[in-house]
Amino acid sequence: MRRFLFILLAVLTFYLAGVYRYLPLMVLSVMEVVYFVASFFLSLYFRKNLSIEALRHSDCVEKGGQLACGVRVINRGKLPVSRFGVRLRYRYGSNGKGIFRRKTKIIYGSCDRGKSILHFEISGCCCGRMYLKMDDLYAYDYLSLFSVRRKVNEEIEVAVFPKERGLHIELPSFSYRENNRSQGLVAGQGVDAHSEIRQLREYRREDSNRYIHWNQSARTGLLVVKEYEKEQDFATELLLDVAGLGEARESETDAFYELVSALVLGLLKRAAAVRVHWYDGHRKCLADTGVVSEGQCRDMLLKLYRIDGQEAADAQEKAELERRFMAQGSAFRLGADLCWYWNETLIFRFSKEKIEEQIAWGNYVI
Amino acid sequence: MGNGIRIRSGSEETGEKKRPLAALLFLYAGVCGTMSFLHSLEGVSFSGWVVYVIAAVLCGVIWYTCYGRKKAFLLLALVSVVICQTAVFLIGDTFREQAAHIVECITDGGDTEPMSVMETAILLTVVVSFIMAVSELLIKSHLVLYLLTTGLLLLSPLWGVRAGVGEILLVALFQAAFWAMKIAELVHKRGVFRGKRNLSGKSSITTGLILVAVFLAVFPLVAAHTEELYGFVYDAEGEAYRTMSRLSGKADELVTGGKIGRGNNYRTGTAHLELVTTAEPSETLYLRGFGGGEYTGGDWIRSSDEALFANIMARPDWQDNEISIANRYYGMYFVMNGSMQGNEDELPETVTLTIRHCNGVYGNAYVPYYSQRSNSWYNYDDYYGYGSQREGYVYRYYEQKDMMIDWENVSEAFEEQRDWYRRLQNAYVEEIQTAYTQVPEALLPRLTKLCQENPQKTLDEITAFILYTLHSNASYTLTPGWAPMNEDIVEYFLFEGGRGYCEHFAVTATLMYRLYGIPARYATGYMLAPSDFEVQEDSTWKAVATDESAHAWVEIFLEDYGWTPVEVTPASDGGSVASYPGFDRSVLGRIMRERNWSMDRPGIPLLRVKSGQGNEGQDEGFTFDFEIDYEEHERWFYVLGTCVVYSLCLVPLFLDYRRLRRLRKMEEMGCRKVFSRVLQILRLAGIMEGYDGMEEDFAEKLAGLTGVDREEIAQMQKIVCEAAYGSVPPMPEKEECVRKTYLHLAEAVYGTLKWHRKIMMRKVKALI
Repeated sequence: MRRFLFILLAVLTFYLAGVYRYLPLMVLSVMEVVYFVASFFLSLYFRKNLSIEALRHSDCVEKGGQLACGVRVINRGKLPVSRFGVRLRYRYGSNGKGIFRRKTKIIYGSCDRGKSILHFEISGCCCGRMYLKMDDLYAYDYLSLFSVRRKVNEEIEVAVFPKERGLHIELPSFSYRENNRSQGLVAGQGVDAHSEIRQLREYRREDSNRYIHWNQSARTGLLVVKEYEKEQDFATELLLDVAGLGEARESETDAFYELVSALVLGLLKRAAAVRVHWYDGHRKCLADTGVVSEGQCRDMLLKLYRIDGQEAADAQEKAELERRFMAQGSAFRLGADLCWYWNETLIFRFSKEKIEEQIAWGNYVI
Repeated sequence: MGNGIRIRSGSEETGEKKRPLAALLFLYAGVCGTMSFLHSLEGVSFSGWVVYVIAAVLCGVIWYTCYGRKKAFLLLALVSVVICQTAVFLIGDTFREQAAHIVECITDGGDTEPMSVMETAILLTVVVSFIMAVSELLIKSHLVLYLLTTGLLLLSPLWGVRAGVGEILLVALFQAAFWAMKIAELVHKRGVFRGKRNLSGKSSITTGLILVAVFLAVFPLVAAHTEELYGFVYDAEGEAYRTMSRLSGKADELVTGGKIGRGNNYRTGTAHLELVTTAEPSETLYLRGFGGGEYTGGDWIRSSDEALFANIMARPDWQDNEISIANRYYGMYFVMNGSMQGNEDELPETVTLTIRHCNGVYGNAYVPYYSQRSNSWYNYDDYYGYGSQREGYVYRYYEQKDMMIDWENVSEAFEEQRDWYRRLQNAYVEEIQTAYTQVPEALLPRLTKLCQENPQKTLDEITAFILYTLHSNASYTLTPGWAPMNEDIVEYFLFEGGRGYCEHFAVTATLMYRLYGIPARYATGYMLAPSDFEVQEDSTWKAVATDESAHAWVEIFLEDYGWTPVEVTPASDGGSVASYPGFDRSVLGRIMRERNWSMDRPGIPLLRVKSGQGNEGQDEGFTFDFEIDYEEHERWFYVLGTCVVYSLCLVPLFLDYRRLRRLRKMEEMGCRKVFSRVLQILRLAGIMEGYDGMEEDFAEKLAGLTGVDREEIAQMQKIVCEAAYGSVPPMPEKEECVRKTYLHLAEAVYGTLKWHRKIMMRKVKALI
């Protein structure tokens, strides 16, 4: 539109200059036309001399947090570029597989001669592996009459992790249960009479009422709970049913990953470790990862982010492996449909829309 | 981007906003360019260098205060408003008079007396500077000013304002540079990638340089090929006109009316008249469709002899009625010529002319000279035996060469008629002396002055002068361009444009004849040369008059001939073909030799100068008048003096305000900056020159010179060192301690200074 208006102006100027035989105006109209052409070549010149590259090609960020991405803009020309644009595409999910929504945006900037390090901040709104791709560089002349495009191929992979928060889980008072696995169910704070009380401490919101030391509380006037030694060998098993995760929308995968993280971290407060299992479609077996800390939880999530929908092709085999796993002993199971089971008993059906409140405020008693 | 990702800029603006020098340069260019348009108005004059210097100073101050010193800018604006209002109050009549004169110059073109508008120019400079600065530097909106300046550029020629190339370039620079600056600033403000702030300045300067380079490359080429470029426009305009005319049916309309064209004349080639004569014409045939009586500035009111006949009839010695007079007058010369006695071979031959309108509309008849209309419409086919009805009308006429009226050479039976005719002619001549010599001199001051300054005696001399003036000062073209709206077309044609076609030559000649007291009428119709006629099978001669045959000429009254056409439009070779009985090329040549006139030299060279500016040969562009006439600019000095007094009164207030502001700022300053001010004080006082404040004996020496406690100064030193080299910034209490020490030192030093240094320290540097 701007180009059209500019040319229209030049034509009108030319016409008026001609009919009034006005030399200065004729000079102006021809100048406008020549400058118009020069602007095109100027944009070509900028395009030729401008290049952009990402400083880092992979990074991670917490969901909702800001990640500063740096790009190096190199202007080899002799003139500053007052406006350039970079088309930024992003998508979630594994590289090249599955159906993902691709959003695009052109972000603008300016740069002087030489090299410039420019930053932009992104905040991921969904958990998962996010791919940012800068694939088009637009160079504009000074009056933004022309923009010429040039292909660039810079990709930044960003792992968006959920916030580190755990579900409030109250585990049942099971004793150590022998099974094929070396670890039994862990009662997070040791619940039988033989368990050793480590210390008495002040009541916290997440503590279960059953561990309140009523006598001490009466004496002191403050609520006091018993804290038991964790059984170092006790680990909790968690099976993730990732069927359909590869093709799910990012809002669905976001809820799933939030839940996985919250569940694992919540279980870690009650157990020494959490072993997470899921079907690996590439190796055709159940992958497992032990998690004992928040850092390992992120590592586990990074592996999960690689699920690309391959498991959908082996549904029968997957189901068989999972059935055998569950038969070996007690375990939690979380499906992509956000249903949480203890063995075959449904503990809770989370909702994608209310996942935040359910994680933050829910108190889950097994 | 919706669900999934949010993107925002990663860097924030830091530091004080810089002042791009480009903003000042192009702001000044815009102000000067705009004011130069005023300068190029005819009838307006002012000292350019004064205005441009004021513009430079004002732009500089505005630019300085606009960036980061908004309060100072507001103060400046307030002061300017006060000064302007004072000026308006003191010399309001002058402003009103000058403003009215400027408006008159725009609306009336070059017909106004010159006048100096210095005061208004200065006021306008102030106003324009502030408007541009506020729009571009504060509000940062370029669109409105861009549209306004574009309007100024494009509409100025419509009003005859012809600024020079320099002015146009300045305005174009202003437009382009701020456009580039605006884009750069927008990207910086809203872009995600933010570069250095001063890219707006760099990009605008680069844009300006590119524009200047383009101008230098383009200007010589355009100047060398103006006619070709204009030709492109005319070709396109002509095609558009022809297409529209054909589509709307205007192409079929016959030439009628007295409106003088102000633009180009495009022909469609559409046939208008079909003419058949019984003999081959040997002279140019003029068919008059319109006669102009009263000139109303670019247009003629159709002449009407009815009022003249009524006046004649009202005379006591006339018993005939009006209709009888009219009927007998119009064919009088034809009848008289036909009543001459003599051998048949010697008697003139009449030519019968049949005219048919191609569009079938007969609202206006086209009349040959020395003619009489046939009593009835001839049935075309009956006459020629074709057997079908056709329309048309018939005239019989004599060619000019065959007009040989001899009032005494009539038969006895015709004598009474002859006497009546002679009496009618005499009465008519008396009437037209008043009716067809009227000229609206107020509309044509320059033409009137030209004729007054060049008196001629005889009709031949008048005709020769008219032809000489027209042909030496103007050239014939169908594409003379448009005349500005605020000028009379005649004055523009003769005194400025110098290019035109038959209408322009004819109307100018008509008015010049009238100014010399010769009854003349402007005539339009069709003109056909003998070569336009082709012999038909039935021995008649046929011609088709298209719009290309449409023509305008002047007709003057000659006794024994009546109204006679005079061709004043130059021939294709530029020569004159004007002739009437008693005047031809030889007569013209003789008179021109006697007067030493030459068609190659403009009739009167000073005609080309825009009237009244007083600078002969002044071209478009900047003018600088280095002489200041005190008497002429007396009022301006009053205003200036008032401004100076105001400024002297306001400056101390301004300095005090500035001092207080700086002191208030010091409360938020870091201790290192406060310490640098301590060093400034010492330098100003000439104390401890060469010390940078970190020396071991600094505190002791300074304490000795000023009387301030040594420990206090040492403590200040220590805190400043910690601030400079420590890992954590100093506590607020320590910063306050440094400030207190500064104040003690400042007061101590101030007391030791001489008065001029005190003023410098307090008022100018604002250190205490």
